[in-house]
Amino acid sequence: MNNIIRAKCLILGDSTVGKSSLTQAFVSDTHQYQKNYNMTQGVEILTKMINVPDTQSSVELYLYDCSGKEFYRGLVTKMSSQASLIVLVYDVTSENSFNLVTTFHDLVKTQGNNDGLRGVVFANKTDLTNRRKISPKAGRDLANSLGLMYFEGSVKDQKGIDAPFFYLVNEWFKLYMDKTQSFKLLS
Amino acid sequence: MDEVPVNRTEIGGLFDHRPVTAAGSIDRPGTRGSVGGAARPSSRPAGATDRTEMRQMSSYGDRPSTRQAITPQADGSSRPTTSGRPVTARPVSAALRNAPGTASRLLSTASLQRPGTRTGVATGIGFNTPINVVDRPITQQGLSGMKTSSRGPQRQVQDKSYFLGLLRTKMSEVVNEVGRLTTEMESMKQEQSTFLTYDKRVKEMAQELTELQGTLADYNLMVDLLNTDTEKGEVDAETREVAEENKQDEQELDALFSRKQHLQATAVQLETEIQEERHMGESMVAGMEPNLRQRYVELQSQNTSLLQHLDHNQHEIDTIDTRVATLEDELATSKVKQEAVGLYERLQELEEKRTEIQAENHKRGTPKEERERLLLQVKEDNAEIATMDRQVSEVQEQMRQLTDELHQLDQELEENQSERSQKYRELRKREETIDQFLAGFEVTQAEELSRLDIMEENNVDILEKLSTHLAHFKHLPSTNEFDVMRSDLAFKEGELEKSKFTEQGLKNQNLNLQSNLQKIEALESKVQKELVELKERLATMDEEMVEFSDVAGLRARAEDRRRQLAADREQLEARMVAASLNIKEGKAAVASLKSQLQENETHAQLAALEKKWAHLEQTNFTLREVVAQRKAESNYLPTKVVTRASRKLNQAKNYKPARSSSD
Ligand SMILES: Nc1nc2c(ncn2[C@@H]2O[C@H](COP(=O)(O)OP(=O)(O)O)[C@@H](O)[C@H]2O)c(=O)[nH]1
Ligand SMILES: [Mg+2]
Repeated sequence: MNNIIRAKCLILGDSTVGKSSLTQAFVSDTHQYQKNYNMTQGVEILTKMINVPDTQSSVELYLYDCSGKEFYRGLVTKMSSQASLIVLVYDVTSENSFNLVTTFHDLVKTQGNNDGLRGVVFANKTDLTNRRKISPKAGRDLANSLGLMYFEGSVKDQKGIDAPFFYLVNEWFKLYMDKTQSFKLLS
Repeated sequence: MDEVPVNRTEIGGLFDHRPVTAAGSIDRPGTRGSVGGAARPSSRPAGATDRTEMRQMSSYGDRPSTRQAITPQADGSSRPTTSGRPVTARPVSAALRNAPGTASRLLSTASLQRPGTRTGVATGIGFNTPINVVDRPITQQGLSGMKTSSRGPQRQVQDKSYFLGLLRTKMSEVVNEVGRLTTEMESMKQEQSTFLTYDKRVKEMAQELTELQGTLADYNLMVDLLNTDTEKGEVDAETREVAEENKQDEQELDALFSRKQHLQATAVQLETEIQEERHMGESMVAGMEPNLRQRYVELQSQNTSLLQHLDHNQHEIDTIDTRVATLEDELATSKVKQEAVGLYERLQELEEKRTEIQAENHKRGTPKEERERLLLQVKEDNAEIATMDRQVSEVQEQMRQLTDELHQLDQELEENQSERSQKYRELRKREETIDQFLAGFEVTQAEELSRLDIMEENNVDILEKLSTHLAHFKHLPSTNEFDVMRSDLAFKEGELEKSKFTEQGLKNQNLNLQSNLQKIEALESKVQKELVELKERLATMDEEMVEFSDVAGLRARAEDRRRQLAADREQLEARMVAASLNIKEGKAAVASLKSQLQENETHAQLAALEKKWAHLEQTNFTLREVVAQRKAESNYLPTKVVTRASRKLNQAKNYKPARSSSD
């Protein structure tokens, strides 16, 4: 039973919080990191195949690295329909990015057609401890209020990059198995 | 006053020690009797013999070795000369004295070796003995046996200057050694002083280390707090709590300290009092009259001798006790012996009783005499009672007189109360005593009579018992019978033991079975639960059975579904072809649109603008980042807070010594 399960995963958040860095670090196996900021124009799509441990199945993630700029909001909104997974990123040194997490979550929710949506909140740039403004507690509270899982880390220090994606893959696989099981029972 | 407690303490000490010695005495014989005790003496002689052997060995090794050492080691030098002497060496040695050339000497010795050794072996002691006499003084003058061999040739030039040179070299060596030792001593002294400083440093460092560890712990705590995101308020509250606790502990400590001081003061006072008391006792002894003091000294010596005696006796008692204990232990091992002992004891008791009774019997003579005697006694007693009655009447008479007197006195008393009140009271007292006597008289009389009766009864009882015992004496079991009874007893005891074992086994079994029962009960409840579940499942299965019973219908439905799905598939495949066609068309359209877009000038402009925007954003971001970084670096607020806190702390620190100094 060597099947591939596909999932659409949106990466959302304010600009310059490290969405592209996170996505690229995750996709490249070496966790490469670029110090220079390259503004994402519109949406960039990357893919990555992940084996679900102890099974023959693997999940192919279609990672939608969306721009955080207000200018591309319309495009992003259009692209965000029928999403299966979301990663809401914020920068722990920026309160504005933290507040925008809820906005992006609402944006995905209003698109609809996304029952069984799974997601995580990722707090980036924890290496900047002296500039940190959002405490882990606040982040966790926010994630809980949105019904999401909380993760934190630093792309720069290569800390906690894989954990949120692995969590999402696992969740998605579980959901898929439940669904197929129920289908089989129905037929 | 203080002598007695001192003696008491001495006695107490002796008593305290005695058990220890007793225990020691118990232990000691035990160890002596035990394997260890047996091993020890054997090991001791062994050691002793070893030592003596060693001594002999060493003595052999010390002096004779020098003698012997000469023979084997002298082979190189001395023996040839000695052996050579009688033959040829005398002229050679004389020549050597004149010309002390070592090379020639060696040559000469070498040339003389071979015959020497041969002759040495052949002639042996006969030649060696006279030369040994010459050697011995040299070896005895503190020159070791080993060196005699090398000294062999030197001995031939032992003149004054040679010894002087030797002494000089030795002296210089000694001086050198002394110098070395002094330098060593100085260096050691220096080391000592440096050691002191180092020691101090070590202590300081240790203190610093502990302080740093404390701060580390503080920091760790803080990191913990940060990680757990504890609010400042909570931390403050905790701090306050801890501070309050601290204060309480301090107060407690103060109280304890003051109490301790108080107790110390009382202790000191008591000690001084004791000292005073002792002084007083000593002064009293000193100030006694000579004969009194003599008596005191005598008494003291007596006391010590008695104490010794007591100790000795106690020791004896202890040894006897231990023997008794060991014997009892021996007894305790066999029940039959115990039984025998019990029987023996009873026998002894009975025999004692018998002898007593016999003695009494002897004293009292025959029962008839006894009865006469008792009757006599009764008569006497009756006479006494009569006299007592008379006395009673007399006393009553007296009492009447006294009461009359009392009345008179009362009257008189009324006349001159103050004068006679004393007398009156005395009289009242006397009256009371007389009253008591009178009241008690009848009771005592009755007691006497009853005692008499009891004695009579006792006599009769004893006589009866005596006769019965005399009859029973013959019925005591013979030794044969006793043996039989004993074996019977042993057998029965064995049976009892066995039955006890079986009882124990039954109890164990009972316990096992009870635990089994509990397990089974648990199992039963589980089984019942399972039963309920199975029933439920049965019900659902029954329901399903209705569905499944219609196998044909089911199969038909499945077939229908399969057919439908196959049709669906065909349809979908057809649609897929159409879709792929559509995709191709779409792709072509996209390509054309893209080329159009590429050609479009506005798009090109837009792309350029976007690129420019991205570039601007990049510079914007880097600049903002730099600003934020600098801001964070120059953020003075946390520093301010910290400095303020540290200042406060310092103030608090300074405050404390000020307070203590003001105290
Ligand atoms: N200090 C620090 N900088 C980061 C980290 N992650 C990303 N950045 C920087 O943040 C900037 C924005 O990154 P990017 O991924 O393009 O942000 P996006 O707009 O969310 O896609 C880049 O210059 C990165 O170098 C991080 O964990 N720590
Ligand atoms: Mg980006």
